[in-house]
Amino acid sequence: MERKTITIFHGPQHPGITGNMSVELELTGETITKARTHVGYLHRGFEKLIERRTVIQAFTIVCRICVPEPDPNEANFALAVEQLAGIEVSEKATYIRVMVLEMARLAAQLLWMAGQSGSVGLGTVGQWSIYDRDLILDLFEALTGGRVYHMYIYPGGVRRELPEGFLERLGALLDYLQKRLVEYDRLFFDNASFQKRAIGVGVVKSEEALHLGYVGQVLRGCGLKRDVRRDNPYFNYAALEFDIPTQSGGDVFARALVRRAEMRESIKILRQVIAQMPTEGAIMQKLPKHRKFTLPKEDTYVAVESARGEFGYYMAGDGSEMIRRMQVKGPSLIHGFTLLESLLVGEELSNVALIMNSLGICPPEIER
Amino acid sequence: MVLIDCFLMLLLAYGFGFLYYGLYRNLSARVHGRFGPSLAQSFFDSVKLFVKEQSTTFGWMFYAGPIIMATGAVLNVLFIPFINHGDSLQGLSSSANLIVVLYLMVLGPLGNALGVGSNGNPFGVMGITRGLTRLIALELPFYLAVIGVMIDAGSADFSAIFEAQSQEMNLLKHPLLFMAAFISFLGFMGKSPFDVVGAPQEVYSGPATEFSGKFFALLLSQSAMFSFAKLLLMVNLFLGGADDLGDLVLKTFVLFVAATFIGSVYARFSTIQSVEFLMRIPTLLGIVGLALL
Amino acid sequence: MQNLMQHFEIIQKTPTLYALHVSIETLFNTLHHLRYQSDFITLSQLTCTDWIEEERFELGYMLTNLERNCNLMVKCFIGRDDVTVASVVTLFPQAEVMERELHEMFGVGFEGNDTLYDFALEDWQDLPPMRREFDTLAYVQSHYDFRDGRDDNLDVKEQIKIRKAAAKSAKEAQGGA
Repeated sequence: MERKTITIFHGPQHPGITGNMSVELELTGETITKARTHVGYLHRGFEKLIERRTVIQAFTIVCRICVPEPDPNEANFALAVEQLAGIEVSEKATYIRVMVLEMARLAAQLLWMAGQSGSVGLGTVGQWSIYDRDLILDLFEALTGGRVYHMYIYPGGVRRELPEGFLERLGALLDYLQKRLVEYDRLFFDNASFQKRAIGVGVVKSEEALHLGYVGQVLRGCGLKRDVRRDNPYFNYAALEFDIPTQSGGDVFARALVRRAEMRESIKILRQVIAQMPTEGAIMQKLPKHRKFTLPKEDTYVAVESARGEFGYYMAGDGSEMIRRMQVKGPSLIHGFTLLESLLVGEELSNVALIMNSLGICPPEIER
Repeated sequence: MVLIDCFLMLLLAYGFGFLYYGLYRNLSARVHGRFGPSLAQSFFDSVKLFVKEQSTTFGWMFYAGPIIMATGAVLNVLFIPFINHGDSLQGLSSSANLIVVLYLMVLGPLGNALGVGSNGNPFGVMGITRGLTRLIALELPFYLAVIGVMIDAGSADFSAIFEAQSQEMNLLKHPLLFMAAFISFLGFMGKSPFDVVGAPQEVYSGPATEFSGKFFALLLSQSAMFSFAKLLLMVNLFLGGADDLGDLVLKTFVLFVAATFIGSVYARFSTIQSVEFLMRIPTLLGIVGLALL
Repeated sequence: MQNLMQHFEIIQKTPTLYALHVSIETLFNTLHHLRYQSDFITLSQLTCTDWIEEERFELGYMLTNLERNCNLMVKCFIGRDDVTVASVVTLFPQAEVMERELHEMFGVGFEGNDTLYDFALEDWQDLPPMRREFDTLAYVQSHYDFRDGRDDNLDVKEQIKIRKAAAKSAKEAQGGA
């Protein structure tokens, strides 16, 4: 018997979608029979813009590539430029970079928690976690001058010295967050109604996850211990102690639990950073003059672990002061197309937002 | 006299409906850790929408939906007595009984289906399908509890039900029946975890998607009045009704606060899950409660 | 890795990044070999660089190994015009969307990938925008109007000059007194 389907666009203006993208769904009743991702509502042509800019000019726009957590972009850009130009970074600057990245990770996880809880209609968690994220943004403002976009991790170091008493403020915030995490456990992660919604939904097989290049919580949610910070350490993550949490379920709930554990790990790393932060040392290397800052005709690939998985940059110089090509590899491209389109088939309409949020799909990095 | 009484009841229901809606926004805002809008905001919204014009039209069937719903809500308010004794604020309740009220409660969703079905918006149709699916599951435990109350009172008349509760209210006499009714009451009020009809992350606003202007205002007003009617029904059936206006406010407020707080700490079930849940736990409670009568 | 280094001319760029240049003819077979005979089972990025002065594109297939701690970039020079490469969708399903993107942005054809429809641009008839000969400024000028600015957006350079000169002379007069 042939079943009738209707086609609806889930997005781009829809409360249940993560950003400016849309999923074209074919529905039988409320069951999805086919899904196709559409992007293009947010194409700003960053990769094209960067081709015509000098290294320092390009630096100002890389952080705009991903809105929820801009810092991995800056870190990637700095790593790639330093690798191509052969710049060494001081120890203090590396510590500050790790601190910024982990703070950004915490902020991004809190933002994710708002999205994930919102997708199941539990708005209370979202309101709480956005408030807590704002406290982190306050610290970012004190450190960098910007709340969301920081433009702080610069090729050659970081742009500003730590303000007076910053580490104490950060320590106090970590104490506060640690207490809050218990509350989140009670309201969100241990909530029977959330578990009922999340367990067994959007299951990713571990075999598939390895072969199709899934990253981040999707991998760790199926029991695979993969994390760029450990596998391919950058900055001084090799010297810091932290665990890589994994879960075996592979479903939305497993990914949520991985993220919950990662928040604790981030706090652990930040505490180590506070304890080990060097008091002396330059934060910035002397760079060539702006117009004389040339990159050799070389290319490289660098990656950092963002809050949603491996975030990589391919960068090629051509001997001039311009960057010949910079290509962004965010976790969302594969997750948003290959994974999402296959995961949604057979699911109910009510699970679309749930699955999208748990994959951490962010359209700005799909269409740079 | 009856006319004045009816008018007063409608006015009270409208006022309390929007007051409680404002309180709901405030209370849930406090749970969220923020300050909500002022209490008068929902009145302003309603009045503002009544003076706006429609932005879309889908023919008269589309407009019939909110009107039928409003009819259901108004009749419900008129047929449920506000006070458990005396002549004032009784409306038409002496000429109707519980069965009429239960019948009228279904009128709203049916009118909604009529109106929404004619606008052709897939999200509206999906929302109304969800609503009707859930309604079937909601009614089962609620009717079981109501049947228990009617058996206990030996009649479907409100006066008899008040009479039966004059010593001890049904909440204490039949806690299991109350539990069953309260869980489906949460669903009737559209609270989490049963708020599948207008789930914004899934079907936008569901049935209300295409409505605008006056008819949206009508939709809002009837839903506020209908919410108050449901609170009243619960108070009358299980809390022994209200002795006076102050008692009425107190009892409805307690029920309302309980529903609001429960609603703000639960995630939304999917449609199938909510039907399964309602068919299982509250229905079981209702059956056991009936057996214990 | 040692085994692979004997078979292919792999250059080590950093401790965890290797590069391998192949010709367009051997590209698919090399990738096939790497996918099934070696540790590099995942494609994590498909890059394309436009070397316009050398009249060629450089495709880069970023392969990642099972342990996710080592990347191998298989690179291949291809011509800039009307060029078609064998699609690797059969080896790496995730390449589907990456090839779609490159097809749209550079105009590279991928034989065997039948999903090369619109990615981010809609009904794009112009030159593929990521090619270096695509002139962004000319495109913008021919497609969009520049806003004139606000009514009170006056040219104040002259006034600033006058004011500065006045301030300077006032200062000089003060200094003189």
